[in-house]
Amino acid sequence: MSENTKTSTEIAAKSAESAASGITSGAAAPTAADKEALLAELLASINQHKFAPDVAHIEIHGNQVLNKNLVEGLIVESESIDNGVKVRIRVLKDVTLKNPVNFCFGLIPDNGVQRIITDTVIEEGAHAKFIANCTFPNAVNVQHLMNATIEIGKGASLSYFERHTHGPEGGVTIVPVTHVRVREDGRFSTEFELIKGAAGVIELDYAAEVEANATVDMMTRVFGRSADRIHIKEAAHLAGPGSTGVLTSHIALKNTASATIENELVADAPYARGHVDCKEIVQDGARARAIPIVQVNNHLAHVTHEAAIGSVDSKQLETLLSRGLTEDEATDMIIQGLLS
Amino acid sequence: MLLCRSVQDIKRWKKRKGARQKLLPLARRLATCAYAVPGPPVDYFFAKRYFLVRNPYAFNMNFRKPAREPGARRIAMNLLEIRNLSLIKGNRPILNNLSMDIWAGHVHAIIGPNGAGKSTLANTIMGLSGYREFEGDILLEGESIAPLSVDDRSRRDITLLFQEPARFEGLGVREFILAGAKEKSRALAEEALIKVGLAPEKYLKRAVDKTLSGGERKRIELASIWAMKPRLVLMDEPDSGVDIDSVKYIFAIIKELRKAGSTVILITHSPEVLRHADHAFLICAGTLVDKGEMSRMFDYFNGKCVPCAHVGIPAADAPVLAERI
Repeated sequence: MSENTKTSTEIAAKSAESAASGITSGAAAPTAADKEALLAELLASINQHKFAPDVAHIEIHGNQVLNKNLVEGLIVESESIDNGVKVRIRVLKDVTLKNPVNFCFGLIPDNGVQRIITDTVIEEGAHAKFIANCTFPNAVNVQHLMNATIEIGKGASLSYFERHTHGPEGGVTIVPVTHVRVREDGRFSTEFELIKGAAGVIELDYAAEVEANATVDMMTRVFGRSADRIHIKEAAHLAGPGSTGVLTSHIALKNTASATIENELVADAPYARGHVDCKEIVQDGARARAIPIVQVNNHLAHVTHEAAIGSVDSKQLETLLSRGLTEDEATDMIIQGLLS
Repeated sequence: MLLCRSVQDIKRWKKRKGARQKLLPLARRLATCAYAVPGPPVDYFFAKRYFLVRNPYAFNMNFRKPAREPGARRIAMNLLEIRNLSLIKGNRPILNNLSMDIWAGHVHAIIGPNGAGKSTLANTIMGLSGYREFEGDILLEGESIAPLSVDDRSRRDITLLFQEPARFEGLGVREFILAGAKEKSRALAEEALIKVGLAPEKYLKRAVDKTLSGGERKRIELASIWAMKPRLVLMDEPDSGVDIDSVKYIFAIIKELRKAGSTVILITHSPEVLRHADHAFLICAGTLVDKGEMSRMFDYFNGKCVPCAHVGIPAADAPVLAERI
């Protein structure tokens, strides 16, 4: 078992080297068996081993698409580029995907660069859920760079959940930059979760343009440890009448981790409604900064914000202490709840 | 502020105090021999020798001698003793030389007007932050718990139902209920929810957050206490925020805790809640004014009132407290 693992890790390292040097095909390309082993390791790192035949999924390691299974109404085209992959995703008009589409992006070796460029279009009246697992279980010096544009058509919806699984070393730099346009009556919700493993360096930048009666809901949940550096920037422009936006950030920090959260919500149209919610629990020598910006340019719009930074709430803590939990157990439970 | 007890009544009771004092040691000694068994709310010997002396009109009460169950444990008379407890917060005396005996296996009520110090007393017994600096002592089975932290006290089987339950963003109802339980099973969480009248299939996967009403959170907190099965439960206004139909579940839990041998301290303004106590303490401005069986203390809710100088400190104690401050 360990031999197999070692072998697939070596294959992965070679694959990553070739990706880093811009070689996308040729003699170094792994065989089908190699790909199989790599795929197994990639999925094992996210505790996922098998998908049902009617579940769409795509697995990308470095700059290679290892596996792909599509369903009717979903089009995914991929192209290997230097250090990464370009992916075009389209959910056809009026199609509702029964099961979530599962993406797995990752790098098994301890160093390398993975650049993912995605262009997603959810056509008018279509509905889909995407689950993206980004896994870097052995990362010491890994960069995961993502540039995404998402277009949600009229009356369409997309729920996008991105979970990161990192190793304990914290050698990952994550830079996801996403621009979203939500057309009339559309809905877009996104969740970014990094709870297991060291966060490393995160530079998250999400921006959304929201048209009439459309909704955007962005949520970020990150647990920063040791020397992690986290910078979250979420912005939504409520441009259409009746549009709504909620920007939520829940961050827990311990050791010497630091975080800056910038949430910006601008309401330009009448009856636009928005809320910014930022909660950060800080322990040990960690540092946190929250910069909520709310701007209203129309007297019929309404935007609110709340931010709370500090230690664990004393009432919550004492409630759990009075049930016999130790302070550490109670704190962990509260943090797990906040980040769940 | 008026406390509901006539002055004449008090004088009458004081006259009888001498007779009661003579019988009290005997009654206590006999009651110490009682066993923790399910049955009537008062111990048999204690009731017969002591209670009847205090209340001659209770002759018609049907006392049943409890049979000793195999393995039933012998219990001490006092589970908790509060000795000369005084607490000052922000230069304001809240508790004033308070002494109480909390009998094991009984349901005690602490009644009194708003601001009398009832919740402060519960928080002090639990050892919450801001309630750790006090004079006097709190003894659990004869051992001081004053130096112990909240979690150490709860590991000695003391817990508190908060008047206003906390909200926990994202923390599941199941995890919360099982937090203090020795057995961490889904079945126990489900049973606890049923006990408080909440459907497990509806609540088990929800979070104890702002999506639940105050009453729902209160019942879930009560469920967590039921699952914990502590020896001493402090309940700060257990019925507050709970709708009329659901209060019955709270009373059922109180009964069940008592049946299981737990000692319950109810802090309440409600006659309905007081009905479920065996014994009550009346406090005003942090001072113990009266104590007795529920049936007698119930008169305080029946319009027989005496004045209580509820201006922070009782008039009689003002000079003493002033000196201390």
